[in-house]
Amino acid sequence: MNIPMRFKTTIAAAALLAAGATGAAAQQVSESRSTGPTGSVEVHAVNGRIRVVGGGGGQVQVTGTLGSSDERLELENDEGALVVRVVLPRGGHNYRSSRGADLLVRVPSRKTVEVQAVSADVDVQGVDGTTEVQTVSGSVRVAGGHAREISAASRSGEVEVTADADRVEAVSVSGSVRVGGSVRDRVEANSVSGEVSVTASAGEVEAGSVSGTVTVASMRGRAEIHSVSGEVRVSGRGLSGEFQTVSGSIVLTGDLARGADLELTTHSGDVTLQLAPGASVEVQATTFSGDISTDYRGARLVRESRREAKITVGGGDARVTVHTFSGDVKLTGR
Amino acid sequence: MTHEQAIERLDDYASGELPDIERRLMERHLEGCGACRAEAEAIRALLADVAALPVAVAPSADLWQGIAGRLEPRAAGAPVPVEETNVISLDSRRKVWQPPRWALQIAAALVMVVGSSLATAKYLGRRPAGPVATLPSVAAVTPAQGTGQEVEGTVGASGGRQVAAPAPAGSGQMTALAAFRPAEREYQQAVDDLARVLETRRASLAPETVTTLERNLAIIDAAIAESRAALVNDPNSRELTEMLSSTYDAKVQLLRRAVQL
Repeated sequence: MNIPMRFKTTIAAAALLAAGATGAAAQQVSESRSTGPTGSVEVHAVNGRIRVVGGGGGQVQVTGTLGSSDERLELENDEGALVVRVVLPRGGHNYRSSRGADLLVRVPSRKTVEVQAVSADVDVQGVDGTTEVQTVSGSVRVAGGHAREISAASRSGEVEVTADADRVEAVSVSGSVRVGGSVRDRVEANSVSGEVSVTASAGEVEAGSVSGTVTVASMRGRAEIHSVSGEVRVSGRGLSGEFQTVSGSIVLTGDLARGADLELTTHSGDVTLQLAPGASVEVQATTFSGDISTDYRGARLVRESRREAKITVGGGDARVTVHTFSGDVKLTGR
Repeated sequence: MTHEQAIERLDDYASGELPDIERRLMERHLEGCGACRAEAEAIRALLADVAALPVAVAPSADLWQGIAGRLEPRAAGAPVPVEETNVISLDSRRKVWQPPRWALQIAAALVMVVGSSLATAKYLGRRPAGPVATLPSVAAVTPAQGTGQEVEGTVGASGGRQVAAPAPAGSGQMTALAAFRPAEREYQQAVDDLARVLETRRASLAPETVTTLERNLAIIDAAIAESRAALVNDPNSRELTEMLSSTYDAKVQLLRRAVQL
């Protein structure tokens, strides 16, 4: 069965170890363990709300409430990791009807943190260690901290990462995905039907959605942006990279830097380049049946064939290549 | 099997990991124990919810990049450094959520097929501007999809500088469309393989996600059909070939992402 053993153990323990009827009242908990400043902490919960906050010291402290009086909190060392687990009772306990745990987990900021949940909302703040969060239907928020790697995933919840990190990966199937802050190396942000927004100053961005709008701003490195039917909106002076849709439109707004090199490809989406005054760009556009036009002041449009045209603005220091099948291409001012 | 023994083994039973003998004993116990039956159902329901958790996203994505990255130089005849295969960046720490081995094997197999397709397609579709390649014999092209007509097809009104002149019949020159056809077959094979895997996972996807995927696959298929029809009428158009290749890429990427959900 495709279930991680440690998490399965949580579930099994939840279902088997406790006995009796479901308690109605929430239960206050407060536990702590000395762990040292490094190493890893794992938090496993089914539903409710989990907050993990990085700070000083060498202790892991867990405070808050459990969903009912017959749930229990378990802290144990497992292969060098401290595992914090909410254990549900057996005997007819229905976790879906439980109000769920509301836990604050304070950890030394350099800890590696992993949180796994089913429907719990997860909030991680100020953690400098590698952070990985996965939940099915809850939301995920990771903020603050200086982590090397952050991985945040939800199936239907929203995912938001705002951090100073080397590498960020954020994924949701139907929820929105937002990545901000500063990412030195690479951002990967993807959704199927949710909107994706990357405003992080990133060295490299790969972002996409199948049907949601993809917005990328503040780029300073290369980007690979893709969508099928969703719109792609890109801005930022330092842009370079490849942008592709099938039927979604592509809108590029900004003041392209000298040497910027962009390739925009769409089958039937329209491509609009909204450039700032004083731009210096050469646009090489090819379309099978779409129109190529410009109303940008001072732009020179040369039709090289029925399907190709070159538009030059200023000295043509940035280069944009556009391919469409039936989508229109328009260069305009802002 | 006593009630206490049954309780101890319920999780293994619910997850299908109980040995046959114990499974039969358990089933016998469950026939007479409503509490354990209810518990087994509760565990199954919870396990089903957990099974819907996203699998480790980073390793699968990196697995793809690593293998696809190795395939492209291989397609060009370059040696493949062994160390390039180890690109899973998160593996230095202990992973709790590992994709099952069978999933990795399927992913690896699909990646080989799809990566090969992409490498071939890019090799064929992204050549420098100029006349399309001359191959030894037009007849060498598999006539699976009306080759003759397409190879000798009429050229559209285009005539742009990057579009090659029409290939005279029997001249030995291959049209862009004919040169693309092997890659197209590989794309189609990759699409079929991925679609089969996706079909097995369909039940685990939310209905609205399935709807979104189907709607967008239909958009892509329409785009492929449009590009292909245009290319049949203008078989020497590199631009149309690249557009068709690009749209196939989009389909493969969409399916690849879908099977990773």
